[in-house]
Amino acid sequence: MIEKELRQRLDWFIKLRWLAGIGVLLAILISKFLLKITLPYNFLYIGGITLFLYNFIFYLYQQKLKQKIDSKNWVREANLFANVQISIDLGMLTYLIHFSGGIENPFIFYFVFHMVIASILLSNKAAYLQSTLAVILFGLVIIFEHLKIIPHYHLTGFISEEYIFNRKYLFGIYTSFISTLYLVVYMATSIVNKLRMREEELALANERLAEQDRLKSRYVLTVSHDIQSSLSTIQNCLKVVLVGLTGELSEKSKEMIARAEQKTLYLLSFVKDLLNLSRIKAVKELEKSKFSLKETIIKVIEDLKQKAEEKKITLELEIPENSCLFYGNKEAIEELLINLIINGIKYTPWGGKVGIKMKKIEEKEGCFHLCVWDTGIGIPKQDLSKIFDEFYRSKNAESMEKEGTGLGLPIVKEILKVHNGEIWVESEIGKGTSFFLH
Amino acid sequence: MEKILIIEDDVDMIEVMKVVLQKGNYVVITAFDPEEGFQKIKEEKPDLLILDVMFGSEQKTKGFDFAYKMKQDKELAKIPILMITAVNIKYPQFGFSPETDKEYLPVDDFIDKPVQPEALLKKVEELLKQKVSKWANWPDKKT
Repeated sequence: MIEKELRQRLDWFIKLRWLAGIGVLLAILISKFLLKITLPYNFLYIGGITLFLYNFIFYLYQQKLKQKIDSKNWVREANLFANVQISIDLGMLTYLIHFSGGIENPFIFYFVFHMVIASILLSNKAAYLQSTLAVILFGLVIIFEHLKIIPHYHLTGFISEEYIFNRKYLFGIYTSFISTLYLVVYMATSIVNKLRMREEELALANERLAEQDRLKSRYVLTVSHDIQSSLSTIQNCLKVVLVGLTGELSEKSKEMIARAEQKTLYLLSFVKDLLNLSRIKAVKELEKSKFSLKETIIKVIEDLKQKAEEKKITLELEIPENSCLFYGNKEAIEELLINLIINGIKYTPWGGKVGIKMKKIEEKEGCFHLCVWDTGIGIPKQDLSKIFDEFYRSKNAESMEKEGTGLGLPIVKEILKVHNGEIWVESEIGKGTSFFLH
Repeated sequence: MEKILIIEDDVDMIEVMKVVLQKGNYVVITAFDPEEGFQKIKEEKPDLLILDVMFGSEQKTKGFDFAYKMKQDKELAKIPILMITAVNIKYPQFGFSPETDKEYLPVDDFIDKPVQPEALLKKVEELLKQKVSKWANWPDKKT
């Protein structure tokens, strides 16, 4: 985590320096040709070129450093690298300032940028050390120029020379310079510290959430095994008795056992739906792959044919001839289709029709429009907004099929959510219902 | 009469399958955990093994381990396995599904709980007809 952040910031720093180099060259050209200021331009050119050269070396070193990001001392090495870069930059800025007017140059406050960068990249202590280095370097330039130990290059036409050798003026500028640098470092580091703390807190909270998620999944799995396998056993025991494997039964006993078996089957499907819903809600992302949606639809229709035939319902299929691949979780999409079509079959009277239409969305690759329709009992208008709520069953659905979990459509909705899809419904009482998906 | 070994930790489930299989005229031997099952499979050399996936309250997928272990032994590897999938695990995040993972499991067929009598008899009959497990040379997929 720290490694990745540091690496990104170092990359950013090097990119920033390319821009700075271009800025320096532009400033030189403008002062020479536009402002026509007399300055030792050769020294400035040397400075600008050196800036590009050492940034190139830094770039190469950074590439090398990136490759061994897994090594033990990486953070230490990267920190040292950042420190060296900032120190050299400060040296370069001092050099450029000296040859372009020293204290007269309005660009002296560019030291502030270096302080901000140091505060972001380095530890607090290192940032303060770097600001001290800047104070010393700049101090040496103005003091040595003032004492004429090194030459002063006057910016003709900027300020008159009498100010420059006025000690009060120098003192004023230098004091404000020092205080600005330290204050900037103080402010920037406190903001950065706060951000870093927040980041750590968030990372911790994230980790905790992930852990809870895993626990929840584990819990769901435990519950599913226990409830489902016990219910299965009950159903099995009843079935064995019901089909007469344990001896003949009276008609009444048979009927009672059949009732118990039916109820158990209902409970089983309820638990299964509930668990499927919890499972899909417990994960943020399902494993996805590319598969043919067309083939999946055909398979689902094939699987449900018998169920439809029991009610003499015709299944109609309308899909494009050549279909492209769909990126998603195949099992989940299969379940979505099964849920919708089974609903159609369930709530369509004897002899009706249930169908599925598929259309490619031309503008978006891998996206499809699906419509699952039926000629069933329909959904009352006031219920349309509620049918995707967990456990909700429409009144007329209840009157047609006594048993239903009210979880089929919520599962459909959750599966679509994971696939960035949408669903809406149109329905007319007595005529049928259409679910549209994309 | 063909001999079938059931390894399953649910006593009631064993009883149900026993009733069904005995009606189908098979000899049924039972074991309640994989350890006992491994001993019985070596002693009795059954013609078919019916194996549960999960065992115990910790729900370890010992059924898989058992199948792998069996395939290490040349003789035992030939016995076909019918696996009972207790939990209908649809999404791969939660472990396994016969749909997606069957290529990686050395079992011959799956049957879902609740086990329906007709389905059980049908699958058992098919596997017994097959005689030798299709995974007899595991991990090589071809028989």
